[in-house]
Amino acid sequence: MDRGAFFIQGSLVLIDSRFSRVMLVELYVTASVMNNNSKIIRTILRLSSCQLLLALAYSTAAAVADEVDFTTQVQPLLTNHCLRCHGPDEKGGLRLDTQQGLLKGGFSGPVIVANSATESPLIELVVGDSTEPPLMPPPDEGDPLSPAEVETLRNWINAGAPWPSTIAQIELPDLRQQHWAFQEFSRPDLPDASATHSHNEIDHFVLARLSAENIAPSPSADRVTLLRRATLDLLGTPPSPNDIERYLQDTSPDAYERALDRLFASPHFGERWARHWLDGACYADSEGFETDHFRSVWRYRDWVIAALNQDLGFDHFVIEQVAGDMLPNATLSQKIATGFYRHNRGNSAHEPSRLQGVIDRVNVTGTVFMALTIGCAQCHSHKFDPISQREFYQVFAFFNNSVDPQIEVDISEYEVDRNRFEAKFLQLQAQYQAYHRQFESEYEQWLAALTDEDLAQLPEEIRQTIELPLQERSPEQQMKLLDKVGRNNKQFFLLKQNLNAVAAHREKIATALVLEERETPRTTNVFVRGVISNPGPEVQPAFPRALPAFPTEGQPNRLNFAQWLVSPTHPLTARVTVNRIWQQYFGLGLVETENDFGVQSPPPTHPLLLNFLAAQLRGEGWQIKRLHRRIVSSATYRQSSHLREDLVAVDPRNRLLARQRRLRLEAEVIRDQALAVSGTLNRRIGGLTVFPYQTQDVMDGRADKSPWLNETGASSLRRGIYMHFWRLTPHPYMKLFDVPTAAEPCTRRKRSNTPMQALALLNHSWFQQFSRAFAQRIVAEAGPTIERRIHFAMLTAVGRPPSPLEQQTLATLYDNIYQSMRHDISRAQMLTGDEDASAENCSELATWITIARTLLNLDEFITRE
Amino acid sequence: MTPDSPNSCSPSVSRRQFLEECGIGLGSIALASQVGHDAQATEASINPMAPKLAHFAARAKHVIYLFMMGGPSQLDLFDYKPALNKYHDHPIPMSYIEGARFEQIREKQPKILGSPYKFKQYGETGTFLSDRLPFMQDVVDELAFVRTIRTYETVHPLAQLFLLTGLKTAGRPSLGSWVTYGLGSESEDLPGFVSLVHGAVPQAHDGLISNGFLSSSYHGVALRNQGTPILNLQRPAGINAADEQQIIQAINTLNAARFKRSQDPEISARMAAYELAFKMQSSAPDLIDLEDETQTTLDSYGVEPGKASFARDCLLARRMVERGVRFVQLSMGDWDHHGSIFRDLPPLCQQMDQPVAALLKDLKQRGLLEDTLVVWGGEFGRTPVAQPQMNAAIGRDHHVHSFTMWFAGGGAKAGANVGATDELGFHAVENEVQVQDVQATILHLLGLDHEQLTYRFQGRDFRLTDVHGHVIDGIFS
Repeated sequence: MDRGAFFIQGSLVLIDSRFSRVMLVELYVTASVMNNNSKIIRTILRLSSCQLLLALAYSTAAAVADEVDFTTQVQPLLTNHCLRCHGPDEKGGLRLDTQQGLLKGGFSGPVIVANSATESPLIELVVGDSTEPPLMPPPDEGDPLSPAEVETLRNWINAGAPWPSTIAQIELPDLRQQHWAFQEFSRPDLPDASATHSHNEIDHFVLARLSAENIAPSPSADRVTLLRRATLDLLGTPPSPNDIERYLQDTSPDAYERALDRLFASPHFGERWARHWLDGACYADSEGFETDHFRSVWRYRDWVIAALNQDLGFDHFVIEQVAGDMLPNATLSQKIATGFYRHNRGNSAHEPSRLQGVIDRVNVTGTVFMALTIGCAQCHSHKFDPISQREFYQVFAFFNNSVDPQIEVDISEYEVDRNRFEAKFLQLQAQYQAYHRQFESEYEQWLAALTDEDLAQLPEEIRQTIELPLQERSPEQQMKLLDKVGRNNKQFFLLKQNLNAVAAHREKIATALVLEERETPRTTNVFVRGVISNPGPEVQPAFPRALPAFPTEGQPNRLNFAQWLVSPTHPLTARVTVNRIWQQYFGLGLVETENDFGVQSPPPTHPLLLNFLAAQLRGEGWQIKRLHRRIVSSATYRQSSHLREDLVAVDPRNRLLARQRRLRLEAEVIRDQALAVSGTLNRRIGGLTVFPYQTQDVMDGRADKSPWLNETGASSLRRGIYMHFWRLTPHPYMKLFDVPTAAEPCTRRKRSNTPMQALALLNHSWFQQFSRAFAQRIVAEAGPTIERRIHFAMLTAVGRPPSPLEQQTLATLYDNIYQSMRHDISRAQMLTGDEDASAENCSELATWITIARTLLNLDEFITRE
Repeated sequence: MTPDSPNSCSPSVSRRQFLEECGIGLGSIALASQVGHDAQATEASINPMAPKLAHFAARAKHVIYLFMMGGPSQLDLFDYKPALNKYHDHPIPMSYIEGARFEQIREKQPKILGSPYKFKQYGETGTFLSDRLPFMQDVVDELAFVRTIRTYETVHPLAQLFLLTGLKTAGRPSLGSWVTYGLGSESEDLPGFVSLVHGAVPQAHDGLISNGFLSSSYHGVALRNQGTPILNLQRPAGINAADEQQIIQAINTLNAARFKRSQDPEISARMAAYELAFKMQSSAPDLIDLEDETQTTLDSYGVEPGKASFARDCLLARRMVERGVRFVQLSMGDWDHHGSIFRDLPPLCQQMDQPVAALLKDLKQRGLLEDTLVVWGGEFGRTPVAQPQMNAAIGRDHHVHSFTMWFAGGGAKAGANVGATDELGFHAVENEVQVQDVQATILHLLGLDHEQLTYRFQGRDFRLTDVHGHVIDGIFS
């Protein structure tokens, strides 16, 4: 009491010196403290609207409560555990964000008894008893209170639950106001920039930041470097010597822009950028899990390639993938687009597995479009995450209403592809039939050797077949019988498995996996702690509260969700997309955590630039190619990638963009590039998956016995995006170069640098083949002299002519290897695989193979400079 | 993609100067050293894996880290708690679980879960071991137990990253990277840091062998967990060793020229990778070819030729250490027994027990155990209380409050026992040991002071142990 009074007087002195009116108020408060009656305090508070009065009363109450400080102890506790539901939402009629609400209680009565924690239902609700867990907060909404927090709550109630008068209502942290990524954005004004270093708007933002830091930008990369950079970035294949020559001859100021015109018109643009998109979608050609059966999703992959080539507006690109099946009069193409959601775990025929698949779809949706790690909310809410567990299941409800059909597609234009499987099938079938002929001849012997016990173990059907005379058995009966005759033959058993797998594969290739909305919605429940077998309260589809609302007529559905993602007020989709595309050109995004725009993500390095690009994307009809064009045209993109001594200390990771960055190319692009350089790349676009060579042991131990076709012909020379990807057994080369596992969305690939990669480029049979073809090309196309050949080889491999040092190094290597080969022609023959050529020709080709191999192993070859 | 920093421990600075001075000569000098010429001084400045001096006298030169992913149950294997059986099925007293954190258990007062396995004392030390570890009985006297490791992350990938990199999010160098950064490798022709995973590759695996901000050369090299462990070792037919040497030399001469222009440290890391790859073409086939092992050795580990197994990985680990590999990380998956623990734990023990015991004996017999530190443990342990499941398929949840690890060889004190847990094995009652203490101790045994092993990055000196870590008292002799 004394302390309280003392405190008040202390406050009053301060206040009094500024506002004389407060004096009157002070008397009331002092009186109330004297009576030690918190009810009186509250009565006074309600009478007054004067903020100063409130502040004063707060001081009083805090003093009385003695131990507990409302703002630092009680308020955070209420915010973290209670207010998500018992704030403005008034769940159960109760709100705890205002003092009035606290005192009023909920539908079932008051929740606190002032000065008596033991009698207050609130304490019972958050503590539970020795056998029952706490009722509040429900496990799907928040974490339980810690014992220390319960103690705080008890002390507070025992002290009369004092409520500071400054706080009329506890403001729930509004992410839309607090966190940059949830704020709406508009096109910002351009900062000034010097004309010398600026090509377009991007440079204004980048230069403004650099000049603030007193850092100069880097000069433009030289012309050939720039051409190779843009070609690899946009198409994923290198410029040919002809492309380079044509470009160098064009000395007009807009030569680079004209080169870009050509690149953006190329249908290989879609292949290059589809691969990035497919990483996020978890695209793979099999189911995963133990069986890892084939999934026919290649039509979806081709849809993405075509959509990017046609520059389908990104809004349509999103809507068709998320809900193409629900568009009015949906076309086959729009249905195929929903294949985006057919890369999840699980199998829709089995309910728990189907639900697991829906969870995956929610996670992919969160990561790909919004860079939200909402997957965490599957199991629990987190005070820092923008999405509660309930909201996770509200989003889940949008995706819980599809059937997952397999639809027939016309593949008549893919006859060439189909024939590969047909040929394999016929080959295996012929082997199978040969075995059967063998078993036919062994049949009598087999039958005679059967004991009664053996016979008893045979299926009834087989025993009946045995009873029948040969001519009365149906072909099917006879086939099953002969399968039994050969049952102990391991090779036959394996062959049969292979045959069945290929037969199934052959059937499936003419299908596509899509979504189709059910007419009657399924009910969706929260899964308590994320456990599917533990359903909690029912929820309806709803948009997360941290993001803008999207009015719909009636219950919103998946199509509305898709429209919401690209709606004009959605703060995330455009920014996330811009950031991901930016990242592919510079190694890191403007927001480094390209997969997490949540509350804990770091702010963008160039927030206005991000907003500018996002606003332009949305404002210009979501044209993706225009965004790409803006980036690759900028002076920022065109800078040299050389590391600068002055930047090492101040900006080692190039966040300020004072230079470009060297980026090691992706697994597929390294191979695509080697194919292109060797002149053997099969540039056909789309179609069924291909199976270039891999070591046999990769497929050992698989439950699914589909063979790897180990192709050598035209199919083996297609781009990496078409290579069949078995989730459980990816191609070892692809793994070495960090291809994602397709188990969860990958939005940024790792770029490791290991001796295993060196071994692969030096010795993998693909690369031996590429070196040989490249050597043949050098000899055939470059002219007669060594010097010209080295020039051609360098130009082809790394897109620039050799320096004198490089010319000299390679010429010396040529001389030495040539002597070595000439000396031992058998080695030259092994390397060329040609025993008929003359010793001279053979040694020459062998040496060029060596030079080609050297170039395909340069760091520069596997790097975008 | 991180530039080298001016740090006395970093070889890259001198390498850069070297490159600038010599440029073209690099390849020839580097390669000369491995074909027999004495060029050690030069080698040290080119090769990031060149051996470096420790901070003080080392007890161990190599580490084999047996990483039991998922969190094996210390209570069913090593930390004998008879009270668990006595109070089986009783609600655990609230005093134990005040402030305790589980991952999945939500019961307010979960029930104590006894262990169905028989514990007996073995060896001269009389150490208790579960009957699920019959082979370990023979080597129990070699082990130094720490029974009170404390961690704070209840989720697998986070706890794994915390244990091996010191931070729960990916991006920091892992223990093996720090060790090879600090000491280099004793092997000239194999990677310094090698990783093998048996079972499902964990979600965080890249992060668990990542070089973080250190040079890419310190990234762990993953061997395949099926089929041939290393592919592409065979040169193209027709190219002999002398040709190959010239080719690699030319590759690196051209790479060096490129490095001189662009200064990208990734190029120098790649040059080191090519030098190593060249050497591996002759050394690695010998490493992975188990033909020269006796049948007795194969049987002792339980290795079946041609079949991938944890046993094969253990044998490969010995062969790597024998050849000077600094840090071998053998990860074994599937120890995450939330349900059906008593059905799933025994077969896993069977796969682990024999090869691990054989590895210790084998190392000892070859005189390698003395300077090879073997570490065994998961990212956390498992709870003394039951995680209820449907159909009585009971399990144990993640336990971060206290779990067991053991150390052997490499200066670890045979028979030592650090820390004790309470009656139920829930909390430490003496000597709580932090994850950073484990990291500091491993570095200490290798002759590295965890406070001195730093790397300057973005203006700050980073350490594996951050601002924590004390060398564990009492586990080394």
